[in-house]
Amino acid sequence: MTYSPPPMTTPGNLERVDAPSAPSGAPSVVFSGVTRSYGPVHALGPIDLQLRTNEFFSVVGPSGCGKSTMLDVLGGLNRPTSGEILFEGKRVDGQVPPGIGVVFQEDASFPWLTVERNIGFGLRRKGFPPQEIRERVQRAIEFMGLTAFAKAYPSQLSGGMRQRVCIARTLVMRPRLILLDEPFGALDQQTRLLMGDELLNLWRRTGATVVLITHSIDEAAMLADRVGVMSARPGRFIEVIETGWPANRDSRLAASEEFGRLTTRIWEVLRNESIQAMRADVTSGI
Amino acid sequence: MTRASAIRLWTIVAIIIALELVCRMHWVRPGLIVAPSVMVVEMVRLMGTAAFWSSVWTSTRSFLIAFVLAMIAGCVIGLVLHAFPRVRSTVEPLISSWYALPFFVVYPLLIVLFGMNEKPIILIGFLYAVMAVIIGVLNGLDRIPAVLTRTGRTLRINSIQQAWFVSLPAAAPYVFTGAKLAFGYAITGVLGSEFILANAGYGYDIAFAYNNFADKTMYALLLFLLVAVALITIGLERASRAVEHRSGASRVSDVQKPVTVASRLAASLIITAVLLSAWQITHFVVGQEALASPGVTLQRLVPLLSGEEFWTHVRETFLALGFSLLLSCVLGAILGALVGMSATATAAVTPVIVTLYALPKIALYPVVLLFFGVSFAAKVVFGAMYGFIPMMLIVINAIQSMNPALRKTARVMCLSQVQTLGTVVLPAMVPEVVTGIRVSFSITFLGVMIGEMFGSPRGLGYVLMRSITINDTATIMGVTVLVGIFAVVINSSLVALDNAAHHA
Repeated sequence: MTYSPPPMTTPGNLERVDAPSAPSGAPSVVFSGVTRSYGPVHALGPIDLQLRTNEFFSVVGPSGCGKSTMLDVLGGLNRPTSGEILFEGKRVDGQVPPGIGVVFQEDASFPWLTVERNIGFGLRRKGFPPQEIRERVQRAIEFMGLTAFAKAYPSQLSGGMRQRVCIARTLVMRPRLILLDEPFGALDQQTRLLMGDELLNLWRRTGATVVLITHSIDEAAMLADRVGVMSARPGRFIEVIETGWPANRDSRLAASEEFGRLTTRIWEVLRNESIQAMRADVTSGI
Repeated sequence: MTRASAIRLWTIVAIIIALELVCRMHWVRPGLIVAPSVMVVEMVRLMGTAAFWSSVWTSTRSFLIAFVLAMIAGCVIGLVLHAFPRVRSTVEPLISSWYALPFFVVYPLLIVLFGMNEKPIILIGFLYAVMAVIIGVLNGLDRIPAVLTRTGRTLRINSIQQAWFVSLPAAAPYVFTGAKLAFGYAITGVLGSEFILANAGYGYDIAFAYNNFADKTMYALLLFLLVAVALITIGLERASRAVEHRSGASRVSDVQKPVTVASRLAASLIITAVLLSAWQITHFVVGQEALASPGVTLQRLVPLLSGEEFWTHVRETFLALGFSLLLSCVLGAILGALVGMSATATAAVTPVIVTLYALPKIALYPVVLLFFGVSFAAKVVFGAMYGFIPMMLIVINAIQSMNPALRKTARVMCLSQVQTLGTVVLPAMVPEVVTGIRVSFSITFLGVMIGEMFGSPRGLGYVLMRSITINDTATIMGVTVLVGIFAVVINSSLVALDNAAHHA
């Protein structure tokens, strides 16, 4: 059966991100010949890729292929060994540029702060006026469904709720580029599907460019506008597949035929790389 | 009230009543122990005297100074060591052997250096406590989850903000644990020193009461100490639990420390060289009478070691240590196993044991002497008292935290209780028992040494105390060094054994 998207929901209360500093139409992110090596170990690249503004791009690849390295390098947490990354026309070189938000796989909520204080952390450090902090935090809490837990500590929340706190903390900074490194990896399947829907919602409301790294072929195929399939280490893009989904999609498109064809295609490309990666693990004695 | 607390409460009440009965019926020779009611009456009477509070204040003052100094020095040293990993790995053997050293052995030396006043006492308390703080700070800084630091970077905060808003709160729980330990160590160090040799203070009062056959007073003082320590321990536990939910789950250390035999050897040599130099320099500063130089000490050691008398003392100490260790490990393991098999028993018994452990056991030595007299048995029992509690706690914990799947498997295979114990529980416990032996060794050794320093006619501890009365600083240094080397060598071997057992 073909997929028909649900009716467009009424616009929510989240503000769209500030207009990007690059002219509209120009790519948000450009990778040119980017590689990353750790000593003799060539971990990533060369990567050549352009990301459109307000695009949802997901990266899927076998274990250890360098997906997280790519995200580190894009986010300015690591510098590329060679090549160049441009974010909104400016070089990213080992420093985190303004306008980027990152959500990690591990729980990164600060255990000693309440949910409220966690979310407002970045704003407080940047010296935003208290009134504005309160408003932004309040809106983010409502958007992420955390209203009942605003005064709770992360240790009192489930894994899924804690990830929501981390996402909310990123949200309030109004990033124009959101990087997510297997954010739902530690969650169960059902929670993953729901969180995926919420991520789509967030993406639509804010108009940010989103890069999602994932192990899950289904997740990549369901959420993204384009899926980048990465090879085994050193990771390079073997293929970048346009999904063609409408903007107002949700997890129920998994029932459609197009979804099945898409995931089969991704797996066909990925399967050999995964086998190779597994063999590499065995021979290196891991 | 939970079932466990109820059991605990009624057991304690029953023991008190039994004790009262035993004393009133004269089933025990009077003079050995005093009825609880008499203890309480005497304690209340003492609390009405000014002299009592003066002693309490003397000891409290010493302990507070030791504790505060330990916190300050410990935090600074911990921060520096963390910032310079090379220095840290060089000092590592000292850190891991620190609590293997029987500190009170150094006490006579400090008296010689500083005189018989509160300074050596504070110093012992400080030495005992400071390492706990250093370890706590290092642990805390090691265990800051990398993801939190990375989050700070993605939020573009600067390094000062990173240190103050991320590193510090993330490390705090471990530093707090170190502080709690340091608190206990400072109290123990101060009271223990006052007990062994002093002219004022709470520990001195206990020793004085014992020496003058004032049993009522002695037991009353011990009771007050027990109650005070119990209240403080409970208070600290409550405080910890209140902020526990803010501390985050216990995390694995992110620091990988590559350790080769060669590097450890090099580190030990460097430490030895530094200590010897410090010793020589101190000797130059304070003179021969106060502190013999390494050279003179070595000269003095040679005839000492070749004399028959010395080895008699060494044999005595070793024998006492051996029996003590056997007693504490076997007793601790058996009791630990029995209690650990039941969750209710564990919940009921553990808080009592932890509180007893916090009590400066040195204060209980007079009780041991009352029952056993000045004898070999007294030393052995005293050492065992020190060592059996950690063994018991470790075994209880090992059984309680054993992978439940193992016991379920035994049930599915329809094994009897005995079979389960023999084939599943005991083998699973072996690595933890080895850890228990390692921990017990240092503590038991300390107990035996203290026992010998106070009222024993033989043994290395006796030799130490005798040397102080004749101001034989060379022998003091010699014996101190020997004891230190012995403790460190045995401890290192047990650590290696412990690591091997855990990797098997």
